[in-house]
Amino acid sequence: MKNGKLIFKRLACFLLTTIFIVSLNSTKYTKPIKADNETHTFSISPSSASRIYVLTKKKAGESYTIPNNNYNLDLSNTSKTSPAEIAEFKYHETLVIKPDTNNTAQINDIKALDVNEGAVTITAENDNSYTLKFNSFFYDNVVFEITDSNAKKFYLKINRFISIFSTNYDNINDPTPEVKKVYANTYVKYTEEVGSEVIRIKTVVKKVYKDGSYEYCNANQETVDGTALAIYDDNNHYKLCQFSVEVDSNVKELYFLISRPQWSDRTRGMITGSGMGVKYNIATKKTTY
Amino acid sequence: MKKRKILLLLALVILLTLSKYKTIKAGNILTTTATTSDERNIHISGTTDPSIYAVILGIYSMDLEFFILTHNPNVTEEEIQQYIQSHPNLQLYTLMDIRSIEVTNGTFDTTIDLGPNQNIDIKNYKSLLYVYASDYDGGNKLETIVQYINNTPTNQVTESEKSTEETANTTNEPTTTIEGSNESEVITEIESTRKADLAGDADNIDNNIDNNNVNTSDSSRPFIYSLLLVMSITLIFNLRKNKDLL
Repeated sequence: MKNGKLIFKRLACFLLTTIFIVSLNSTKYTKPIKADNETHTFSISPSSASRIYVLTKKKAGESYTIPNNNYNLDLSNTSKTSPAEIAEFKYHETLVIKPDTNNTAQINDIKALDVNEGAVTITAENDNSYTLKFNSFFYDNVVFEITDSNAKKFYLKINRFISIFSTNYDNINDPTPEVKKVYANTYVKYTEEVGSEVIRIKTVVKKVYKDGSYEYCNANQETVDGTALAIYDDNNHYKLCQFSVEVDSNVKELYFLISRPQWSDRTRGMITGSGMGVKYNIATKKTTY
Repeated sequence: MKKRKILLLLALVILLTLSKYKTIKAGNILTTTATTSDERNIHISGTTDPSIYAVILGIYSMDLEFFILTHNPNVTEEEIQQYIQSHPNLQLYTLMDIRSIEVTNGTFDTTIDLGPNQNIDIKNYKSLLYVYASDYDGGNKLETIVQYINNTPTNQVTESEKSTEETANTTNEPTTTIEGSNESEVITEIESTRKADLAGDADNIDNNIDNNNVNTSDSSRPFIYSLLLVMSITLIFNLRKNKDLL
Protein backbone atom coordinates (compact mmCIF):
# COMPACT_ATOMS: atom_id res chain seq x y z
CA MET A 1 0.00 0.00 0.00
CA LYS A 2 2.85 2.32 1.03
CA ASN A 3 4.78 1.35 -2.09
CA GLY A 4 1.80 2.31 -4.23
CA LYS A 5 1.61 5.72 -2.58
CA LEU A 6 5.31 6.28 -3.22
CA ILE A 7 4.97 5.45 -6.90
CA PHE A 8 1.97 7.78 -7.09
CA LYS A 9 3.97 10.62 -5.45
CA ARG A 10 6.90 10.04 -7.81
CA LEU A 11 4.60 10.05 -10.81
CA ALA A 12 2.95 13.26 -9.57
CA CYS A 13 6.34 14.93 -9.14
CA PHE A 14 7.45 13.84 -12.59
CA LEU A 15 4.20 15.07 -14.13
CA LEU A 16 4.41 18.42 -12.35
CA THR A 17 8.01 18.93 -13.51
CA THR A 18 7.07 18.04 -17.08
CA ILE A 19 4.14 20.45 -17.04
CA PHE A 20 6.40 23.17 -15.65
CA ILE A 21 9.05 22.64 -18.33
CA VAL A 22 6.49 22.53 -21.13
CA SER A 23 4.81 25.68 -19.85
CA LEU A 24 8.18 27.46 -19.83
CA ASN A 25 8.62 26.59 -23.47
CA SER A 26 4.98 27.10 -24.38
CA THR A 27 5.56 30.05 -26.71
CA LYS A 28 7.31 27.69 -29.06
CA TYR A 29 4.22 25.58 -29.44
CA THR A 30 1.61 28.32 -29.53
CA LYS A 31 0.61 29.56 -32.94
CA PRO A 32 -1.65 32.59 -33.37
CA ILE A 33 -4.96 31.56 -34.79
CA LYS A 34 -6.51 34.03 -37.21
CA ALA A 35 -10.27 34.37 -37.04
CA ASP A 36 -11.98 33.13 -40.16
CA ASN A 37 -13.24 36.54 -41.22
CA GLU A 38 -10.20 38.57 -40.04
CA THR A 39 -8.33 40.47 -42.76
CA HIS A 40 -5.40 42.86 -42.56
CA THR A 41 -5.81 44.69 -45.82
CA PHE A 42 -5.00 48.38 -46.13
CA SER A 43 -5.40 50.78 -49.00
CA ILE A 44 -2.66 53.30 -49.77
CA SER A 45 -3.19 56.13 -52.24
CA PRO A 46 -2.16 59.75 -52.87
CA SER A 47 -4.20 62.38 -51.10
CA SER A 48 -6.83 63.99 -53.27
CA ALA A 49 -6.14 67.30 -51.52
CA SER A 50 -3.27 67.95 -53.95
CA ARG A 51 -2.59 67.09 -57.59
CA ILE A 52 -2.62 63.40 -58.43
CA TYR A 53 -0.24 62.50 -61.23
CA VAL A 54 -1.16 59.57 -63.46
CA LEU A 55 2.02 58.55 -65.24
CA THR A 56 1.46 56.91 -68.59
CA LYS A 57 3.99 58.41 -71.01
CA LYS A 58 6.96 56.34 -72.16
CA LYS A 59 9.62 56.81 -74.79
CA ALA A 60 8.75 54.83 -77.92
CA GLY A 61 10.09 51.29 -77.66
CA GLU A 62 10.32 51.22 -73.86
CA SER A 63 8.38 48.48 -72.07
CA TYR A 64 9.04 49.05 -68.38
CA THR A 65 6.17 49.02 -65.90
CA ILE A 66 5.12 52.27 -64.26
CA PRO A 67 4.17 51.70 -60.60
CA ASN A 68 0.55 52.17 -59.65
CA ASN A 69 -0.70 55.09 -57.58
CA ASN A 70 -3.18 53.03 -55.57
CA TYR A 71 -2.54 49.88 -53.61
CA ASN A 72 -4.65 47.37 -51.66
CA LEU A 73 -2.27 45.28 -49.61
CA ASP A 74 -2.66 42.46 -47.13
CA LEU A 75 -0.03 43.37 -44.55
CA SER A 76 -0.27 40.07 -42.63
CA ASN A 77 3.07 38.39 -42.02
CA THR A 78 5.08 41.57 -42.43
CA SER A 79 7.91 42.52 -40.11
CA LYS A 80 10.24 45.45 -39.67
CA THR A 81 12.96 43.65 -41.57
CA SER A 82 10.57 42.21 -44.13
CA PRO A 83 7.90 44.85 -44.76
CA ALA A 84 5.47 44.99 -47.66
CA GLU A 85 6.86 47.44 -50.25
CA ILE A 86 5.19 49.89 -52.57
CA ALA A 87 6.48 52.61 -54.90
CA GLU A 88 4.78 56.01 -55.08
CA PHE A 89 5.58 58.97 -57.34
CA LYS A 90 7.71 61.36 -55.30
CA TYR A 91 5.62 64.42 -56.03
CA HIS A 92 2.72 62.79 -54.17
CA GLU A 93 3.92 64.24 -50.89
CA THR A 94 0.82 63.23 -48.94
CA LEU A 95 -0.47 59.67 -48.91
CA VAL A 96 -3.57 58.22 -47.26
CA ILE A 97 -3.67 54.84 -45.50
CA LYS A 98 -7.00 53.28 -44.71
CA PRO A 99 -7.98 49.84 -43.37
CA ASP A 100 -10.19 47.72 -45.59
CA THR A 101 -13.86 47.61 -44.54
CA ASN A 102 -13.52 43.83 -43.97
CA ASN A 103 -10.85 44.41 -41.32
CA THR A 104 -12.21 43.72 -37.87
CA ALA A 105 -9.62 46.06 -36.35
CA GLN A 106 -8.99 49.74 -37.00
CA ILE A 107 -5.71 51.64 -37.12
CA ASN A 108 -4.60 52.73 -33.67
CA ASP A 109 -1.23 54.25 -34.49
CA ILE A 110 1.30 54.73 -37.29
CA LYS A 111 4.99 55.40 -36.72
CA ALA A 112 7.74 56.22 -39.21
CA LEU A 113 10.75 54.10 -38.27
CA ASP A 114 14.43 55.03 -38.40
CA VAL A 115 13.87 58.67 -39.36
CA ASN A 116 13.77 61.84 -37.30
CA GLU A 117 10.54 62.84 -35.61
CA GLY A 118 9.62 65.59 -38.07
CA ALA A 119 10.43 63.60 -41.20
CA VAL A 120 6.84 62.55 -41.86
CA THR A 121 3.79 64.29 -40.42
CA ILE A 122 1.30 61.56 -39.50
CA THR A 123 -2.29 62.63 -38.87
CA ALA A 124 -5.28 60.56 -37.79
CA GLU A 125 -8.38 61.57 -39.74
CA ASN A 126 -12.01 61.28 -38.69
CA ASP A 127 -12.83 58.51 -41.18
CA ASN A 128 -10.30 56.11 -39.56
CA SER A 129 -7.76 56.87 -42.26
CA TYR A 130 -4.29 58.32 -41.63
CA THR A 131 -2.41 60.82 -43.77
CA LEU A 132 1.36 60.66 -44.15
CA LYS A 133 3.01 63.86 -45.31
CA PHE A 134 6.67 63.58 -46.30
CA ASN A 135 8.39 66.80 -45.31
CA SER A 136 11.49 66.43 -47.45
CA PHE A 137 12.47 64.87 -50.77
CA PHE A 138 15.27 63.22 -48.78
CA TYR A 139 12.88 60.62 -47.39
CA ASP A 140 12.59 58.33 -50.38
CA ASN A 141 12.33 55.04 -48.50
CA VAL A 142 10.62 54.92 -45.14
CA VAL A 143 9.30 51.93 -43.19
CA PHE A 144 6.05 52.54 -41.30
CA GLU A 145 4.82 50.53 -38.33
CA ILE A 146 1.03 50.29 -38.27
CA THR A 147 -0.58 49.17 -35.01
CA ASP A 148 -4.21 48.13 -35.15
CA SER A 149 -6.82 48.17 -32.38
CA ASN A 150 -5.95 44.52 -31.55
CA ALA A 151 -2.36 45.68 -30.89
CA LYS A 152 -1.16 43.81 -33.94
CA LYS A 153 1.71 45.42 -35.82
CA PHE A 154 2.15 45.60 -39.56
CA TYR A 155 5.02 47.02 -41.59
CA LEU A 156 4.93 48.92 -44.85
CA LYS A 157 7.89 50.37 -46.74
CA ILE A 158 7.09 53.28 -49.01
CA ASN A 159 9.62 53.86 -51.78
CA ARG A 160 9.28 57.23 -53.49
CA PHE A 161 10.49 57.30 -57.08
CA ILE A 162 11.00 59.70 -59.93
CA SER A 163 13.11 57.37 -62.09
CA ILE A 164 12.21 53.98 -63.49
CA PHE A 165 15.20 52.12 -64.85
CA SER A 166 15.39 50.17 -68.07
CA THR A 167 18.19 48.73 -70.22
CA ASN A 168 18.93 48.11 -73.88
CA TYR A 169 20.27 44.62 -73.02
CA ASP A 170 18.73 41.44 -71.63
CA ASN A 171 21.87 40.03 -70.08
CA ILE A 172 24.99 42.08 -69.39
CA ASN A 173 27.16 39.19 -70.64
CA ASP A 174 25.41 38.98 -74.02
CA PRO A 175 27.62 40.00 -76.99
CA THR A 176 24.93 42.34 -78.35
CA PRO A 177 24.27 45.18 -78.24
CA GLU A 178 27.87 46.27 -78.29
CA VAL A 179 27.17 49.45 -76.35
CA LYS A 180 25.07 48.55 -73.33
CA LYS A 181 23.11 51.24 -71.56
CA VAL A 182 21.07 51.72 -68.41
CA TYR A 183 18.33 54.32 -68.78
CA ALA A 184 16.88 56.40 -65.98
CA ASN A 185 13.38 57.24 -67.27
CA THR A 186 12.78 60.26 -65.11
CA TYR A 187 9.40 61.82 -64.41
CA VAL A 188 9.35 65.36 -63.07
CA LYS A 189 6.60 67.89 -62.73
CA TYR A 190 6.44 70.84 -65.09
CA THR A 191 7.87 73.36 -62.68
CA GLU A 192 11.22 71.59 -62.42
CA GLU A 193 12.39 73.27 -65.63
CA VAL A 194 11.24 76.83 -65.55
CA GLY A 195 10.79 78.49 -68.94
CA SER A 196 13.14 76.17 -70.76
CA GLU A 197 12.77 73.32 -73.18
CA VAL A 198 16.19 72.07 -72.17
CA ILE A 199 16.46 69.56 -69.35
CA ARG A 200 18.52 71.34 -66.77
CA ILE A 201 18.36 68.84 -63.98
CA LYS A 202 21.61 66.92 -63.52
CA THR A 203 22.20 63.27 -62.91
CA VAL A 204 25.42 62.27 -61.18
CA VAL A 205 26.17 58.58 -61.30
CA LYS A 206 28.56 56.57 -59.16
CA LYS A 207 29.75 53.57 -61.14
CA VAL A 208 30.96 50.79 -58.84
CA TYR A 209 33.05 48.06 -60.45
CA LYS A 210 33.26 44.43 -59.40
CA ASP A 211 36.79 44.93 -58.02
CA GLY A 212 35.46 47.56 -55.58
CA SER A 213 36.83 50.60 -57.42
CA TYR A 214 34.47 53.37 -58.49
CA GLU A 215 34.18 56.53 -60.52
CA TYR A 216 31.72 59.37 -60.84
CA CYS A 217 30.27 60.56 -64.12
CA ASN A 218 27.37 62.58 -65.40
CA ALA A 219 24.61 60.62 -67.10
CA ASN A 220 23.95 61.58 -70.72
CA GLN A 221 20.71 63.23 -71.64
CA GLU A 222 19.01 61.20 -74.34
CA THR A 223 18.20 63.42 -77.29
CA VAL A 224 15.83 63.46 -80.22
CA ASP A 225 17.09 65.39 -83.28
CA GLY A 226 19.77 67.01 -81.16
CA THR A 227 17.36 68.25 -78.50
CA ALA A 228 17.10 66.78 -75.03
CA LEU A 229 14.23 64.34 -74.92
CA ALA A 230 11.24 65.66 -73.02
CA ILE A 231 7.81 64.11 -73.38
CA TYR A 232 5.08 66.28 -71.89
CA ASP A 233 1.74 65.28 -70.49
CA ASP A 234 -0.25 68.49 -70.42
CA ASN A 235 -3.22 66.94 -68.66
CA ASN A 236 -1.19 65.65 -65.76
CA HIS A 237 1.41 68.41 -65.54
CA TYR A 238 4.46 66.18 -65.66
CA LYS A 239 7.13 65.44 -68.21
CA LEU A 240 9.42 62.55 -68.92
CA CYS A 241 13.11 62.86 -69.72
CA GLN A 242 15.67 60.12 -70.11
CA PHE A 243 19.26 59.82 -68.95
CA SER A 244 21.63 57.04 -69.90
CA VAL A 245 24.86 55.51 -68.64
CA GLU A 246 27.06 53.09 -70.55
CA VAL A 247 27.90 49.90 -68.66
CA ASP A 248 29.76 46.65 -69.24
CA SER A 249 30.15 43.35 -67.43
CA ASN A 250 32.79 44.83 -65.12
CA VAL A 251 30.26 47.20 -63.59
CA LYS A 252 28.49 45.86 -60.52
CA GLU A 253 26.08 48.66 -59.65
CA LEU A 254 25.15 52.27 -60.30
CA TYR A 255 24.02 54.96 -57.85
CA PHE A 256 21.88 57.75 -59.30
CA LEU A 257 21.57 61.22 -57.77
CA ILE A 258 19.33 63.71 -59.54
CA SER A 259 19.71 67.35 -58.62
CA ARG A 260 18.27 70.64 -59.66
CA PRO A 261 20.62 73.29 -61.10
CA GLN A 262 22.97 75.17 -58.81
CA TRP A 263 22.60 78.90 -58.64
CA SER A 264 25.86 80.39 -57.33
CA ASP A 265 25.84 80.15 -53.54
CA ARG A 266 22.33 78.74 -53.47
CA THR A 267 21.05 75.46 -54.73
CA ARG A 268 17.67 74.13 -55.64
CA GLY A 269 18.55 70.88 -53.97
CA MET A 270 18.18 67.30 -54.94
CA ILE A 271 15.12 65.57 -56.30
CA THR A 272 16.07 62.00 -55.58
CA GLY A 273 18.82 59.90 -54.11
CA SER A 274 19.08 59.86 -50.33
CA GLY A 275 22.29 58.42 -48.97
CA MET A 276 24.57 57.47 -51.83
CA GLY A 277 21.71 57.51 -54.34
CA VAL A 278 19.17 55.18 -55.92
CA LYS A 279 20.99 51.89 -56.49
CA TYR A 280 20.64 49.88 -59.67
CA ASN A 281 22.17 46.42 -59.82
CA ILE A 282 23.53 45.65 -63.30
CA ALA A 283 23.19 41.84 -63.15
CA THR A 284 19.85 41.53 -61.33
CA LYS A 285 18.36 44.82 -62.65
CA LYS A 286 17.02 45.47 -59.17
CA THR A 287 16.39 49.03 -57.97
CA THR A 288 16.97 49.90 -54.31
CA TYR A 289 15.79 53.27 -53.04
CA MET B 1 -8.41 101.32 -66.50
CA LYS B 2 -5.25 100.58 -68.44
CA LYS B 3 -3.16 101.03 -65.31
CA ARG B 4 -5.35 98.55 -63.47
CA LYS B 5 -4.92 96.00 -66.24
CA ILE B 6 -1.15 96.47 -66.25
CA LEU B 7 -1.00 96.14 -62.48
CA LEU B 8 -3.16 93.02 -62.60
CA LEU B 9 -0.95 91.51 -65.28
CA LEU B 10 2.18 92.37 -63.32
CA ALA B 11 0.74 90.81 -60.18
CA LEU B 12 -0.13 87.68 -62.15
CA VAL B 13 3.38 87.46 -63.61
CA ILE B 14 4.93 87.87 -60.13
CA LEU B 15 2.62 85.24 -58.67
CA LEU B 16 3.36 82.78 -61.46
CA THR B 17 7.11 83.36 -61.18
CA LEU B 18 7.04 82.91 -57.43
CA SER B 19 5.02 79.72 -57.64
CA LYS B 20 7.29 78.28 -60.31
CA TYR B 21 10.53 79.00 -58.47
CA LYS B 22 9.15 77.79 -55.17
CA THR B 23 11.07 74.89 -53.69
CA ILE B 24 9.59 72.43 -51.24
CA LYS B 25 11.35 73.59 -48.12
CA ALA B 26 14.58 75.46 -47.96
CA GLY B 27 16.76 76.41 -45.09
CA ASN B 28 20.28 77.53 -44.47
CA ILE B 29 23.37 75.65 -43.49
CA LEU B 30 25.05 77.77 -40.83
CA THR B 31 28.48 76.16 -40.43
CA THR B 32 30.41 73.28 -41.83
CA THR B 33 33.86 71.89 -41.06
CA ALA B 34 35.81 69.05 -42.59
CA THR B 35 38.91 67.43 -41.12
CA THR B 36 41.04 64.40 -41.64
CA SER B 37 43.99 62.80 -39.92
CA ASP B 38 44.79 60.49 -42.81
CA GLU B 39 44.15 60.60 -46.53
CA ARG B 40 40.86 58.78 -46.87
CA ASN B 41 38.59 59.30 -43.85
CA ILE B 42 36.97 62.71 -44.00
CA HIS B 43 35.05 63.84 -40.93
CA ILE B 44 32.37 66.39 -41.84
CA SER B 45 30.15 68.17 -39.36
CA GLY B 46 28.07 71.30 -39.21
CA THR B 47 25.02 73.12 -38.02
CA THR B 48 21.87 74.17 -39.84
CA ASP B 49 18.60 76.02 -39.46
CA PRO B 50 15.94 73.88 -37.75
CA SER B 51 14.03 73.77 -41.05
CA ILE B 52 16.65 71.62 -42.78
CA TYR B 53 15.95 67.90 -42.92
CA ALA B 54 19.01 66.70 -44.84
CA VAL B 55 22.21 67.94 -46.43
CA ILE B 56 24.09 66.95 -49.54
CA LEU B 57 27.81 66.53 -48.94
CA GLY B 58 30.16 66.62 -51.91
CA ILE B 59 33.90 66.03 -51.64
CA TYR B 60 36.10 67.30 -54.46
CA SER B 61 39.81 67.25 -54.98
CA MET B 62 41.09 70.30 -56.79
CA ASP B 63 44.35 71.68 -58.09
CA LEU B 64 45.48 74.16 -55.43
CA GLU B 65 46.25 77.06 -57.81
CA PHE B 66 42.96 76.51 -59.62
CA PHE B 67 41.08 76.55 -56.32
CA ILE B 68 42.67 79.85 -55.29
CA LEU B 69 41.93 81.29 -58.70
CA THR B 70 38.28 80.28 -58.79
CA HIS B 71 37.69 81.49 -55.24
CA ASN B 72 39.23 84.91 -55.76
CA PRO B 73 36.44 87.44 -56.34
CA ASN B 74 38.79 89.72 -58.35
CA VAL B 75 39.57 87.07 -60.95
CA THR B 76 37.58 87.29 -64.15
CA GLU B 77 36.03 84.42 -66.08
CA GLU B 78 38.54 85.11 -68.88
CA GLU B 79 41.50 84.60 -66.54
CA ILE B 80 40.00 81.29 -65.36
CA GLN B 81 39.57 80.17 -68.97
CA GLN B 82 43.15 81.19 -69.75
CA TYR B 83 44.38 79.11 -66.82
CA ILE B 84 42.40 76.08 -68.00
CA GLN B 85 43.76 76.45 -71.54
CA SER B 86 47.33 76.85 -70.32
CA HIS B 87 47.07 73.64 -68.24
CA PRO B 88 45.59 71.16 -70.71
CA ASN B 89 46.99 68.09 -68.97
CA LEU B 90 46.04 69.10 -65.46
CA GLN B 91 43.16 67.40 -63.70
CA LEU B 92 41.57 70.57 -62.35
CA TYR B 93 39.03 68.93 -60.10
CA THR B 94 37.57 65.49 -59.44
CA LEU B 95 34.42 64.49 -57.62
CA MET B 96 35.56 62.09 -54.91
CA ASP B 97 32.27 61.44 -53.15
CA ILE B 98 28.74 62.75 -52.98
CA ARG B 99 25.98 61.64 -50.67
CA SER B 100 23.24 63.02 -48.47
CA ILE B 101 22.64 62.56 -44.77
CA GLU B 102 19.83 63.37 -42.38
CA VAL B 103 20.14 66.39 -40.08
CA THR B 104 19.28 65.80 -36.42
CA ASN B 105 18.47 68.73 -34.13
CA GLY B 106 20.13 71.17 -36.49
CA THR B 107 23.43 69.31 -36.66
CA PHE B 108 25.05 66.84 -39.00
CA ASP B 109 28.11 64.73 -38.39
CA THR B 110 29.57 61.93 -40.48
CA THR B 111 32.81 60.33 -41.57
CA ILE B 112 33.22 59.42 -45.21
CA ASP B 113 35.81 56.87 -46.24
CA LEU B 114 37.14 57.76 -49.69
CA GLY B 115 38.68 54.33 -50.08
CA PRO B 116 42.26 53.45 -50.92
CA ASN B 117 44.46 54.65 -53.80
CA GLN B 118 43.05 58.13 -54.10
CA ASN B 119 46.49 59.73 -54.45
CA ILE B 120 45.56 62.77 -52.43
CA ASP B 121 48.21 64.62 -50.51
CA ILE B 122 46.10 66.67 -48.15
CA LYS B 123 48.85 66.93 -45.60
CA ASN B 124 51.14 68.82 -47.96
CA TYR B 125 48.40 70.56 -49.94
CA LYS B 126 49.69 69.36 -53.29
CA SER B 127 46.09 68.88 -54.23
CA LEU B 128 43.24 70.25 -52.23
CA LEU B 129 40.24 68.45 -50.84
CA TYR B 130 37.23 70.60 -50.32
CA VAL B 131 33.72 69.87 -49.18
CA TYR B 132 30.48 71.51 -50.07
CA ALA B 133 27.35 71.10 -48.02
CA SER B 134 23.97 72.13 -49.38
CA ASP B 135 20.37 71.81 -48.27
CA TYR B 136 18.70 68.74 -49.80
CA ASP B 137 15.50 70.67 -50.46
CA GLY B 138 16.99 73.77 -51.98
CA GLY B 139 18.68 76.15 -49.58
CA ASN B 140 22.15 77.60 -49.41
CA LYS B 141 25.50 75.99 -50.08
CA LEU B 142 28.66 76.26 -47.98
CA GLU B 143 32.16 75.27 -48.94
CA THR B 144 35.10 74.42 -46.75
CA ILE B 145 38.56 73.01 -47.20
CA VAL B 146 39.40 69.70 -45.55
CA GLN B 147 41.90 70.46 -42.81
CA TYR B 148 44.60 68.00 -42.02
CA ILE B 149 44.94 67.21 -38.32
CA ASN B 150 48.00 65.36 -37.15
CA ASN B 151 46.76 62.87 -34.60
CA THR B 152 50.09 61.10 -34.31
CA PRO B 153 51.35 61.23 -30.70
CA THR B 154 54.09 63.84 -30.37
CA ASN B 155 56.64 61.44 -28.92
CA GLN B 156 56.45 59.35 -32.08
CA VAL B 157 57.04 62.22 -34.49
CA THR B 158 60.66 62.60 -35.50
CA GLU B 159 62.23 66.01 -35.74
CA SER B 160 62.62 65.72 -39.49
CA GLU B 161 58.90 64.94 -39.89
CA LYS B 162 58.03 67.92 -37.72
CA SER B 163 60.14 70.30 -39.77
CA THR B 164 58.67 68.93 -43.01
CA GLU B 165 55.15 69.54 -41.75
CA GLU B 166 55.97 73.03 -40.57
CA THR B 167 57.53 73.90 -43.90
CA ALA B 168 54.52 72.48 -45.74
CA ASN B 169 52.07 74.42 -43.60
CA THR B 170 53.89 77.72 -43.84
CA THR B 171 54.77 77.58 -47.50
CA ASN B 172 51.75 75.97 -49.11
CA GLU B 173 48.79 76.86 -46.98
CA PRO B 174 46.74 79.56 -48.71
CA THR B 175 45.85 82.26 -46.25
CA THR B 176 43.10 84.04 -48.10
CA THR B 177 40.76 81.21 -49.04
CA ILE B 178 41.10 78.56 -46.38
CA GLU B 179 38.72 79.01 -43.51
CA GLY B 180 40.19 79.96 -40.17
CA SER B 181 42.08 77.10 -38.61
CA ASN B 182 43.17 78.39 -35.24
CA GLU B 183 44.25 76.09 -32.49
CA SER B 184 41.00 76.09 -30.54
CA GLU B 185 39.01 75.07 -33.63
CA VAL B 186 41.40 72.26 -34.31
CA ILE B 187 41.17 71.06 -30.71
CA THR B 188 37.36 71.21 -30.84
CA GLU B 189 37.38 69.24 -34.04
CA ILE B 190 39.67 66.61 -32.61
CA GLU B 191 37.39 66.36 -29.59
CA SER B 192 34.26 66.06 -31.70
CA THR B 193 35.94 63.37 -33.80
CA ARG B 194 36.87 61.49 -30.67
CA LYS B 195 33.37 61.90 -29.31
CA ALA B 196 32.00 60.45 -32.53
CA ASP B 197 34.45 57.57 -32.27
CA LEU B 198 33.45 56.98 -28.68
CA ALA B 199 29.79 57.12 -29.64
CA GLY B 200 30.52 54.56 -32.35
CA ASP B 201 32.25 52.34 -29.81
CA ALA B 202 29.34 52.75 -27.43
CA ASP B 203 26.95 51.63 -30.16
CA ASN B 204 29.09 48.59 -30.77
CA ILE B 205 29.15 47.81 -27.08
CA ASP B 206 25.36 48.13 -26.93
CA ASN B 207 25.01 45.82 -29.89
CA ASN B 208 27.33 43.34 -28.27
CA ILE B 209 25.35 43.50 -25.07
CA ASP B 210 22.15 42.89 -27.03
CA ASN B 211 23.71 40.00 -28.86
CA ASN B 212 25.06 38.58 -25.63
CA ASN B 213 21.63 38.84 -24.08
CA VAL B 214 20.15 36.88 -26.92
CA ASN B 215 22.84 34.27 -26.61
CA THR B 216 22.49 34.09 -22.85
CA SER B 217 18.76 33.52 -23.02
CA ASP B 218 19.25 30.79 -25.59
CA SER B 219 22.03 29.04 -23.71
CA SER B 220 20.31 29.36 -20.30
CA ARG B 221 17.39 27.14 -21.30
CA PRO B 222 19.25 23.75 -20.92
CA PHE B 223 20.61 25.03 -17.62
CA ILE B 224 17.08 25.71 -16.33
CA TYR B 225 15.95 22.26 -17.45
CA SER B 226 18.93 20.62 -15.73
CA LEU B 227 18.21 22.60 -12.58
CA LEU B 228 14.56 21.53 -12.64
CA LEU B 229 15.59 17.92 -13.15
CA VAL B 230 17.99 18.08 -10.19
CA MET B 231 15.28 19.76 -8.11
CA SER B 232 12.70 17.11 -8.96
CA ILE B 233 15.18 14.27 -8.23
CA THR B 234 16.02 15.91 -4.89
CA LEU B 235 12.31 16.21 -4.17
CA ILE B 236 11.74 12.55 -4.95
CA PHE B 237 14.65 11.54 -2.72
CA ASN B 238 13.40 13.76 0.07
CA LEU B 239 9.95 12.23 -0.16
CA ARG B 240 11.49 8.78 -0.07
CA LYS B 241 13.58 9.79 2.97
CA ASN B 242 10.49 11.16 4.70
CA LYS B 243 8.67 7.93 3.93
CA ASP B 244 11.53 5.98 5.51
CA LEU B 245 11.35 8.23 8.56
CA LEU B 246 7.64 7.74 8.70
